[in-house]
Amino acid sequence: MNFDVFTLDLKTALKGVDIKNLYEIRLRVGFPVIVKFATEYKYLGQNGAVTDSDKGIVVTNNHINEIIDNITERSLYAYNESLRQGYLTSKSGLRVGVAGDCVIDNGQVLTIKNITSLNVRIPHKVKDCSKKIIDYIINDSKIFNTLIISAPGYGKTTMLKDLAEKISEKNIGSVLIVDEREEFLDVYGENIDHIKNCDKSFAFDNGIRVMSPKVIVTDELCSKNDWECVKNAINCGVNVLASCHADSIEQMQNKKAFQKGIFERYVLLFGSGQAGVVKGVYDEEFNLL
Amino acid sequence: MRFVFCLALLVVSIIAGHKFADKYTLRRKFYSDFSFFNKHLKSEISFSQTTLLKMTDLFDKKTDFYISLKKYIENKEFNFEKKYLSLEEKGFFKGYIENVGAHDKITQLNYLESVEQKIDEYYSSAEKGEKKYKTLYIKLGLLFGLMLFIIFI
Repeated sequence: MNFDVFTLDLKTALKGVDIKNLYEIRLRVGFPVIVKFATEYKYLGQNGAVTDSDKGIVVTNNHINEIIDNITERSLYAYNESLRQGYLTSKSGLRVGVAGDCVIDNGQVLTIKNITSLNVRIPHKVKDCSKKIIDYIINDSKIFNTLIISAPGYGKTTMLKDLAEKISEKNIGSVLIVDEREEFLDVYGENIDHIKNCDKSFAFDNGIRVMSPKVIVTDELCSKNDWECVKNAINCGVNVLASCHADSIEQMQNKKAFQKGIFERYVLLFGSGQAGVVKGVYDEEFNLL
Repeated sequence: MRFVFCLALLVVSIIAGHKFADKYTLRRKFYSDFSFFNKHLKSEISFSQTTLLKMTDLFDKKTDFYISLKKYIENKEFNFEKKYLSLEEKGFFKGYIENVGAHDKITQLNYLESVEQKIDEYYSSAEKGEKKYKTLYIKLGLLFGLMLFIIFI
């Protein structure tokens, strides 16, 4: 993993960290840097992860500003759209969530300023993590519309990445990845196309029209509009693999935007600390398969 | 022999005149780059949103303005020692490169618009300065050289 966007002291400290099991780096001004591993949280000390908070490197405004400068190549204006949505993505694929003061005009968030917290998510690619569920999702050349469900950080995106590559390898049609936050930068294959950095409405409408995909893979269905996009795509004969934040099937059904009858498979992930561990696969009537 | 020496004095004087005039040309070129960059950046922000580094690479100019700008983007170093800018102008330029790229789209556009007039004023005065003093120094160099030529021949 490339940590070039970090400040020199953090880069040095990260050299002593077990990167393979590192999932998140959290920076909050005035507090020590927190590193999240598969099963535990620690602090980032001068030479690696430590358990004592007093030995952790304390985050300053300079850390935050320099990291943002490095990610944006000192061109914050060029990242306005993603900043408005609360994240920045580095060239090496690190997705950085930002928190600070929202500047609002006419009810619209224009930007975020005075940034005081960063959540750096380390992308993981777990080869074959979808092996256990692939047969539930692809039956010969039929692909079931599938929703991957879990709480944040349990590997929904990791699972979708592997599924996209598996479908591409099977040569059963084009896979269109609708990637709003550049989280699928490391996914590629001869049948994979990417539409990045735009909202689902545009990407679904135009993607279907111009790329004629067999499957659309997208992350995080949140709003009613997102669900409508998926519904329209399916009505156009395109299959959809998507993900959604929820801790259980019941929680997902209680979401305002949820619509029954869109997806044919629901895959619930388990928070074991490892990304992409499957708790259960359900059919469209929520029967465990 | 004396003729050759006097001729050499004349040539040296003309070259010295050109050297004195150079700072006005460099100053005009600096503000020409500055003004062009500011206007170009405004349009980039509104449309293609190219990053600063890509923009400086795109122009690939080895002039003082672009060298200083690139150095600051890459290493956050500002060390502009050219004498053709006054202290006030150096302060203004430092403020500019510290602000450029550091803001969101709207704030950045507002900033660029707020400094545009000042940059154009400097550019216009640099152009006038070049017109006025460049030829003056060259003429003075020639006259001084001729004077020495006449005295020593």
